[in-house]
Amino acid sequence: MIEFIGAFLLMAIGLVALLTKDNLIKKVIGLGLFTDGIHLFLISLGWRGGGLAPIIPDITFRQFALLVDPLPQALVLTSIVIDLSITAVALAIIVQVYKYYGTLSAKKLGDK
Amino acid sequence: MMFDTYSFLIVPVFLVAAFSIPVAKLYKRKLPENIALYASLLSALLLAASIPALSSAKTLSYTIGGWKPPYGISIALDQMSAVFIAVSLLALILCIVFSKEHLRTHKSEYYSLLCLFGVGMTGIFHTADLFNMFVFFEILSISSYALACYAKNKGAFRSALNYLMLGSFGTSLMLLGIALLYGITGTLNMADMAVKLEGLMPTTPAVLIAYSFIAAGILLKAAVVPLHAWKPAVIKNSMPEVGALFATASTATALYAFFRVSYTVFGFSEVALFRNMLLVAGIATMIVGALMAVSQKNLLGLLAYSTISQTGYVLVAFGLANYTAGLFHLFNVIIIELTLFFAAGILIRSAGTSDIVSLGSKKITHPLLYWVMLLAFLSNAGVPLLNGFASKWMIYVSGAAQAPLVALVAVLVSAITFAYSQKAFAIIFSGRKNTVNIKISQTSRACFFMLAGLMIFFGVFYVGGIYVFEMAAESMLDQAGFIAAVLGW
Repeated sequence: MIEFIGAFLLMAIGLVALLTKDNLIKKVIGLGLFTDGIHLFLISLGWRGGGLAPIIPDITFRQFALLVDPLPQALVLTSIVIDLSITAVALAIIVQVYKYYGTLSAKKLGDK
Repeated sequence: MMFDTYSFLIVPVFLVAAFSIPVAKLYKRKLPENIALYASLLSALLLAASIPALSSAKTLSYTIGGWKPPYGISIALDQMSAVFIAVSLLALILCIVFSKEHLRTHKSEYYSLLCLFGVGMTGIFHTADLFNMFVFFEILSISSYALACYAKNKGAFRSALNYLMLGSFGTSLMLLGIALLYGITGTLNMADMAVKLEGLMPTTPAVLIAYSFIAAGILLKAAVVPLHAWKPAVIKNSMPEVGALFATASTATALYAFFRVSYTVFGFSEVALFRNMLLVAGIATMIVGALMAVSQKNLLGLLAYSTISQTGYVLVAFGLANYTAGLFHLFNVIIIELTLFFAAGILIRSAGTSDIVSLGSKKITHPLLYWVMLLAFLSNAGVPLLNGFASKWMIYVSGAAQAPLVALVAVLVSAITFAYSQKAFAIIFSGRKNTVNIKISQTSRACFFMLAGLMIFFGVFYVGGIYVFEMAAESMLDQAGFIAAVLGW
């Protein structure tokens, strides 16, 4: 249970940062935290105490029920890569915004 | 049959094209644009190769690597996705052609991004796996963020950043919804999930929470009111060719994903509440789009709001359960908006401004542009004998039968559309001084003639053309057929 609470707390922190922070870089960090909360949630779905790695030839039939679900980890791996590229594109655009507007404040940017 | 599953090669074709372009640029400066063009033409051929098989079997499916459906990733193509692929490929091909003809610089990265856009778009149309759909959505989004920066004015970066923040928050919500669904059902395959959800729906309300996360993420991409604010800003600041792609292909893709999730996975086609919500969202989108379009001073902003307003009509048609009219209207809107955006692109490049009033202070005497824009604006407003009217008429008729008030609003919005279209058109072509020198290449001319031909054909002979959309609507609602085909029952 604690891991789900942690995941949703992380999402909430990310959401607050995304909505209330004025600095564009902090907004990007908030976006990253929000996605990481979802990743934690997905990983927790596949967690099993005392579980085994799901590699079929290494195990006996008795251990079969102990295998963890490998799919969430694969999903999160994919999603982390996507998150990385979004962060990269976001930072690249922010560099350009700073070059043209000379500010990183979302509020000042909105006024210009 | 041999060519059955060739359409599944479209995604790899675009992917290879996207990553070979930066290398190809080193050999020949003009190679990138040709690679992009030939990749998209090849995709159209691959789609055509799958059509004969599609007309007999309603849904074609393929499993990657031979892993059986609920475990491996399935790919499926039904008549609905074939129609959407055809329409979006048309938009992409025309976008590449017009960029090739009218952009002076030969930026290889630009064509690479267009191919990546193609990967995301066709991937969403092909996939039968929810997480796969999310990944392709992200590919589409990331290439869109980069494409939105392409105009060299500084406003483009600001609107692109805004788009990125909203868009990636939307796709994160989608991921959250998919994660919840995976936690509840234990599967990601759309067909398998549909089977499991059927039993779960009445007892587990969490399923609906998951659905609303996914739907919010998708509808943000489709720019449905109140999630529309990013789109006009992005279109206003980006290049007209890219704007055309955002207005047509990405809206169509998002709507496809929305219908696929709502009808195929969740089976909402018979739910009255869902239809009413579509009606409310559609009417709001229709009215807000049209009213905002009236006050626009920028030609591209006007076109962007006009697209949003027309998306509302599509949702209204679906809410009235007239699916054929909805798909037909979506197709018509795409043809109309493509024409308007490309014509506007040529005008804006030649005149050096996108402000409607400053365009009006210049003399524009190009007969082809004049007639093509007149035709498209009239069709957009729903004037008889043009395609925009044919589909709007079907929406009015089914509205009058089921909910007269909805039909009345639709007619009123159509009148507003007529007003702002004709106002903009009259101002743009009213100038008597400062002649603008407009050059249109032969290829672009041919494209304009083709688009105008489509507008007239689907306006006059729509009884013949509507058959395709009837089939698409039928396959969209055929949940059992999709499940059977994907799971191999």
